[in-house]
Amino acid sequence: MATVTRFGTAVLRQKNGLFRPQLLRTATISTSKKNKDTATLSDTLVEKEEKAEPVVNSKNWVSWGYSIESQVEDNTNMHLAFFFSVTLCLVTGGYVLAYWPDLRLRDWAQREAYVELRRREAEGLPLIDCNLVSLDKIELPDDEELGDTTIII
Amino acid sequence: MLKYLFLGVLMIFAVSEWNVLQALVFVGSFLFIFSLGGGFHFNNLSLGLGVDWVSYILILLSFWIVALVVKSSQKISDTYNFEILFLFTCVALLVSLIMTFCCTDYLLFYICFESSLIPTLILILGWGYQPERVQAGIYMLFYTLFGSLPLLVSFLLMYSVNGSLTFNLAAACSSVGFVSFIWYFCTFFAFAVKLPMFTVHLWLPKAHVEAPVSGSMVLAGVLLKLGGYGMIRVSSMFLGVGREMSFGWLSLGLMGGSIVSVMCLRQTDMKALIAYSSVAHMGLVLCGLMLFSLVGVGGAVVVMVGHGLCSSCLFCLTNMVYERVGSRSMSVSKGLLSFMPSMSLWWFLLSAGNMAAPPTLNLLGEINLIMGVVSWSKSCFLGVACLSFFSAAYTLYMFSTSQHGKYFSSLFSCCSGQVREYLVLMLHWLPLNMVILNQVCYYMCS
Repeated sequence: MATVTRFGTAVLRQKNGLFRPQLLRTATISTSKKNKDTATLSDTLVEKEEKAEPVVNSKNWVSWGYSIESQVEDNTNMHLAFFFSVTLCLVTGGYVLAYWPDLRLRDWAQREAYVELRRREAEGLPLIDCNLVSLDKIELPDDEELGDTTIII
Repeated sequence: MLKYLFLGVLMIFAVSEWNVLQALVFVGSFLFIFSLGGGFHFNNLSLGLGVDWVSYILILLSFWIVALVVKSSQKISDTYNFEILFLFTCVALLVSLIMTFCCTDYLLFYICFESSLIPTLILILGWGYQPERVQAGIYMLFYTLFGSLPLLVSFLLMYSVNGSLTFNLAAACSSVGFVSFIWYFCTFFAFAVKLPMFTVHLWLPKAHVEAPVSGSMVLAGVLLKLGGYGMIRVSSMFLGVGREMSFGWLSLGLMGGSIVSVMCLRQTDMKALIAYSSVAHMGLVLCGLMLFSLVGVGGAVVVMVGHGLCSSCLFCLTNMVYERVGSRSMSVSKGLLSFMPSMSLWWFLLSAGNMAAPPTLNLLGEINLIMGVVSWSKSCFLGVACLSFFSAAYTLYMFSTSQHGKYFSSLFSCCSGQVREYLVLMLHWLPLNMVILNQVCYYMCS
């Protein structure tokens, strides 16, 4: 009994068609239209199995790698893949990256440097100076004020 | 930044269609390009999220690598091997990676750092090929967790001392003493394990070899960079101790990288060779990060991106061979120049990239790192020379053994390379070689 139950459920899981009516003949009370043709009800109740449409591929077609069964799907996926990766990301994205205006303010920094150079030439200052601020403007504390403060250079 | 996270999370609704998801990840990567231009400091600020220059580059890399991962795992879709679950895992990994790179809070960073381990583990265990993948997954998980529990304690201590865990707002640890050293070590050790540094690198060859192509590509491409990124983020907290202790990391990085490069010459498994080469490259990255100079950190970021693209592509190539030949052993998958001649072009180009040939990003980064390391201490030239020399040596060994010579007698015939495969390889190679022409590489060099 246990064996029947256990194997039965496995069979039922695999063969769903056991519960599906395949062919049914009935004799109904209502009459059909008064014409000479006769038709059996069973024809209307038979479930027609939908046959999978055979995939039509060209003869000796070589797959792009996206599908081994359908040439149309393979071609479509190839176009999608190339469009999104190459056209969109590499070409358009590369264009955006290449022509991004003044990335990291490098051009601005160069312009500012030229302006500063012109100012220094006009005032007769050295063009480049190791002191950012001129030494006469800095006031350092005396040794008495510093005391034991640690100095880190 | 939230818009990119939403894009990532909502990709879950597209997991039932392989091609739609592929396209979506590329669209995400394209859209993310437009948040360039923020500059050095944090921008695109949102609720606990923000990007600065290094986050931007690594998020772009994450999008790109995950897109290529989906593209190169076509076999999972063809053989109906739980493809929906696979895509879901990839999307979960992408979202956790984006979160990790764009968060501005240390604790959120920690949570996302750990959460990226789970999808990786699922990828290794679910779609890996050998039974050894169980041990590989355990190694990866427990090495990373062992390293990162002290990191959690360190962040909690940071919060109790400083009152904040926001990236540039948490006050630095100013003292240099024993306790500071312990705190520093606990914080950095997690990222050293992830990078991986030489002495704690054992999980990487196992995980990379046993992972499927998707796991290997994302591990080499992005997950190792989590370690480098973490080091960049926490190093501003420990400047004093870092200055004192950087010699340790530099020594381990240089010597470890040299030792591991020599070990590469002994490998017979192609994936193990590429895995050990990753350890060597990351050793140099560690050196660069510990220099605390513009040249060092900039060079480290450039090498991280270049290595991400190059190693990911080498794993892809190895998988293409594995799908045809059925073995990763270099004694079986040899003489491929006669077997798959068109693929040899890509083997050559990527091997050249691996040994930092011009005009790859690897060259730019290595030049910066060599300059930085040698200017830190002239005696480092020996370690750097060994690293560079042996990287060329093992790459030549890998290329020559796999491509040259007579092919293995039991190989019959195979497809020389589908267009899809060439596209994946080209999408890795083109950014690696063309970015150097662009102002973006100056962005990456900070």
